[in-house]
Amino acid sequence: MGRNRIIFCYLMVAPAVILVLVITVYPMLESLRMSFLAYDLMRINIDGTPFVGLKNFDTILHDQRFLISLKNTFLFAIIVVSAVIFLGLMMAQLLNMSFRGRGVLRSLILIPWVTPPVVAATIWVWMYQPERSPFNQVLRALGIIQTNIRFLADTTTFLGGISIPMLAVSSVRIWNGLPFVTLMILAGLQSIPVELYEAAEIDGAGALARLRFITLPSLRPVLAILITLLGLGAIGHFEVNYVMTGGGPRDLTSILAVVAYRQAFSFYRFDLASAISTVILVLTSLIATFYIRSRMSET
Amino acid sequence: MTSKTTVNRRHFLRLAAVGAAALGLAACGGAAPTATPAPKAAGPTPTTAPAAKTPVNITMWTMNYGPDTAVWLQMMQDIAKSFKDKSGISVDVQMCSWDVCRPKLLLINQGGEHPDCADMFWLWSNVGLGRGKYGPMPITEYKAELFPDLEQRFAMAGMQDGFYLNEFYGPVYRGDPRTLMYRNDVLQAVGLNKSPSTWDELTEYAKTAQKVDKAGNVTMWGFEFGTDTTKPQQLVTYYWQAGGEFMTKDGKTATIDNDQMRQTLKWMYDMIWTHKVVPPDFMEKGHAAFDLFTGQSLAIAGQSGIGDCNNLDQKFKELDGKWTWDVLATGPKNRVSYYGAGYWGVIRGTKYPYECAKWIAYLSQDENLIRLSQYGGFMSPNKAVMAQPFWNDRPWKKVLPKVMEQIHPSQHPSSAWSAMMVNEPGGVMYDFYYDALVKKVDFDTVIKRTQQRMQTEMDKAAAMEQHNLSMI
Repeated sequence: MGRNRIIFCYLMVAPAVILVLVITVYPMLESLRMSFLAYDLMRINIDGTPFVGLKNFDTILHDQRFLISLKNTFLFAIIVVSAVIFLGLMMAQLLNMSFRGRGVLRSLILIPWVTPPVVAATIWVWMYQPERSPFNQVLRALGIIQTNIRFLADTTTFLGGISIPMLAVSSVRIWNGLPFVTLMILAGLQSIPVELYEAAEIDGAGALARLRFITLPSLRPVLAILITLLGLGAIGHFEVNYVMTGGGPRDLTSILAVVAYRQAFSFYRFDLASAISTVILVLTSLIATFYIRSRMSET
Repeated sequence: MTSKTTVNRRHFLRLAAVGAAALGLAACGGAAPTATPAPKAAGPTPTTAPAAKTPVNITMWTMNYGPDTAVWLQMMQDIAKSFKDKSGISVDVQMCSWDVCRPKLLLINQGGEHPDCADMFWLWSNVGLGRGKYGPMPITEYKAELFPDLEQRFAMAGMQDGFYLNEFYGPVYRGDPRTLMYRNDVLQAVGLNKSPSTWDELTEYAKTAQKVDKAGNVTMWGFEFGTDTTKPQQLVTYYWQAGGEFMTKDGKTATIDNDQMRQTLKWMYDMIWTHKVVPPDFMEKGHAAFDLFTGQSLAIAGQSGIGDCNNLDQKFKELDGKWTWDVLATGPKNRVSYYGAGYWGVIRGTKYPYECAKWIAYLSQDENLIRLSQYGGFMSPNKAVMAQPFWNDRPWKKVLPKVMEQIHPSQHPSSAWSAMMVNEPGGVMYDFYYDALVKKVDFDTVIKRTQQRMQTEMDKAAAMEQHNLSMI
């Protein structure tokens, strides 16, 4: 490529790079810097912002609420990622078939995606209100339950070790993110040559075998990027948990971003909030690094 | 192929440098503050009025009241215009919504961006937080000139929030008492025809009014401690009613480790877990007692505010005549009501304290207060306001004078109080009530732990105040 052309390319990407540096990289670095300082906004005029090394990290690692939120964050990520991928795969398979109204269905499934997460969370809070929840009404009408399920407040019922409130907020995240995953997988499915399936059918492969030996391997690059993106999103997720439960009841839905937000904007401890944010940064960096290295090793 | 105008590396670097410089200039130029800048050291004594030759422009922040924020803002700006016509002083009234006013106020106390004057609250805490350098500014020296008839025009019992440590900070223009609210149709249906007047009656009424279906689902809860979504605010009142106080009058010692607190917690605990008349989720985010009340699922709310009454009048006309607002049930010692209030005050760092005080005095004139109060729907300690037909045209409004006889200000003398009342897990008061009433932690354990936490916070606040007062 000629030198002038290279310079021209740099010129063209410069505004975007500057924007990313200013609104993403700079705040990230500033937060990283604050995580090594004492930064209590209520005492800043007395104590200033001295360097304290790893003290903030030590404080949060000894904070029970942080440890609970760390565990919950991983749990939330595992639930959301696995459920969205599984359901997305099923939905995409369905939407890949030919049937009447497929186009309409493909449009309708986008509705959760275009609903802002905060709006979705607010609506679902109402949907999960025990006395008025349509789910409770249907389940009681069907005789499946007798007493109303307290979706966002039940602290005693656990399904497979997962609390009802955690399942409830996860379901909203899954509902909100499913369309995007479905569309991505659908696009991937449509790129798989039909001849492969035909050949497999001729060889006597059943549906499960075709899924296992053709569909999943062919979708591997798509699934890899989706799992990475979903994982990154789940680790740094905030709005659904904060709006629906605030991290309660009894910290059962408390995740890292909620705890960080609370430290910063309720307790004005920007040092601790930055330390927690750094932990989020490290976790998401690990996921991204893992993905990049696996892609590089494949190529 | 090269173009006629070539771009070499040097050109590119020059362009990039120019672009970055332009961005930097734009960033600096765009960050003009909306208020007058704070001086380096704000002295405690305001200056006297300068000669009115140079035009004076002051800014004021107001929160939103009434059904329409835009209408409220316009009303304030209209009053500002008439003030300007009379005094020559321009007032730029800006909106600072309730959603963000608390953190903004706290940042003002730390020396952050501020207007010249503002609609404020929690004076005592904010004075402590501002430590004599930032935040609320006393205007005692203008009181005689600009507020000569304050004591005649206002019920001083409701004016505590405008005074602190013998200094006058501004007139309390709105009060927000919380008192009992119940569904009279629900109570009458079970043979209860008068308001519950004691804690014991509250318990009995709640048990009688509660309805449960065959499967054990509660279809009508008997009681909620309050409709305020700020949970600690709705819970502290019951301790006051048992005769307790959270701290000593000097704001230096926490005082919750006593029989009154144990008695209060026991009663509240029994309402939730023994009599089962209070939803066990009452402290969870998203749990809205007012929604239960309007949704015909709650019989009695132990405390509710004027805002709820306005809401019921405006948006739930189908409930007209079916609900009652009355004085609180009496606790073991008294029936004080939680009383929040707002005042208009001047902020340290302003160049125009006299002009601000003059504007505030104008704003708090009877005719302006009447107009604002009727649109905003808030009561006022101003006697002319409360004498208006507007404040006597509904049964619930007629209760206000009786409620005002026994009020307890929401403020406390330690500047740590507002931080302790944070409505989030991790907040001192939130954790206290959550641990005692939801997690069912042993009372002695939770009381001692909270007393210690309170004392730590209050000691820090006291040290902070002492340190900075010595710096002035």
